Amino acid sequence: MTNTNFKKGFTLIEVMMAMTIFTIAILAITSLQTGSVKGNNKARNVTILAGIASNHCEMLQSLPYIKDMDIEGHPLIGYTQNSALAPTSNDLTDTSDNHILNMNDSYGRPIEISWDVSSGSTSDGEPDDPDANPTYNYDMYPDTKTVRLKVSLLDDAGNVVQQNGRDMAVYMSTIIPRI
Amino acid sequence: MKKTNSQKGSVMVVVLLLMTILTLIGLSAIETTNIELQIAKNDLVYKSSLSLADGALYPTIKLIKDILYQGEIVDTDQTSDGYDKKGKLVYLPPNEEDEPSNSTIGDSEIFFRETMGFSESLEYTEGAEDKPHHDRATDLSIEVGGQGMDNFRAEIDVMRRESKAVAGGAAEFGAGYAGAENAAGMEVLYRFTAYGFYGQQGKRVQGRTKVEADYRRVPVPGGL
Repeated sequence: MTNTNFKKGFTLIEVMMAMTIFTIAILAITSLQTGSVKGNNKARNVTILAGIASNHCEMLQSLPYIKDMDIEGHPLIGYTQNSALAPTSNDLTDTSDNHILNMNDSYGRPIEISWDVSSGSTSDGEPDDPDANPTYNYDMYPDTKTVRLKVSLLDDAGNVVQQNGRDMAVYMSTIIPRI
Repeated sequence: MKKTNSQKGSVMVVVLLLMTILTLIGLSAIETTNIELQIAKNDLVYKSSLSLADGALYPTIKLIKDILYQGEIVDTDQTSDGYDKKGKLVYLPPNEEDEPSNSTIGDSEIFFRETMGFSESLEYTEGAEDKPHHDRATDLSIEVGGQGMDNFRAEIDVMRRESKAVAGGAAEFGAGYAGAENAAGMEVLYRFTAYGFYGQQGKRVQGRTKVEADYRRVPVPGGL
């Protein structure tokens, strides 16, 4: 009898304990995997956004050196003030004076490219209105423009995707001469 | 009884082994991810700093053109007196301790003499850019600040290499030796070494890209 009793198997408590321990361990390992997947996703996003930013810098450099230009209704090169990228404005949502271009990446996700352009004085040597942005004037040199752009990944609602509490965005800047 | 007891313990061993394997898989995945992130960030740093270094060449060309054309020291801060020096083309001082200034004294004169060929150009030496301001022989600096791009900066070293007669041009009495606009006889060759620096505040990833370019100034009106 003692022999048959022993062959009955595990008690309920034994099974429960084993399952609990196993679950805790599996959960810990799953969170590792989740973190890994998140990180991979971020890395992929940074790569994509950097590529788009670099491409856009090159595109802007290839444009004629004029103050305003419309392609699909967006001014591409111009003199903006109260820029969203300028340190005088901490409100990144205020992009009223900023140039914005919306597009999709290769996965079809919405991307927003916003950039501002400072211009040096005009070819006549006449400076732009210095009162426009008195605390932060970043005119580089006559007949050169500084472009600073931010490329952000948007969600379906049109908001910038957050990753670890930060905007999923990259920054780039370049200088365009009058040739 | 002793036999069965020893069999019970093997479950523990198997489970522990399984857990260890799974943990190792997880850890290696995290490690791979970290490397992927580093690759992505380094790529961003490279692209950003290359864009800066490349862009920094253009205002330098314009400055040199102005100096040759005017034949005198050029103030780089023409557009807005008294404003923040951020985003300005500034002359770097020859002494390590000094802060970069914009014009009028010492530094601009040194650059003027180098550009005109009155004094010898200092060639950039490898590793010197780690020093605070000079010894590095870079001549000009541009800071492109702004939100999210705190340490976007470029530095340029200009070296006058030679000036020689253009075939078919007239170079009597050394006219146009400096490459001035009105004497189409001499061309001047410069070597630019531009460095783009990328580093956002509070972030570990920083880097720089070096761009070398040759600039051949031919004294004809217009163009770069």
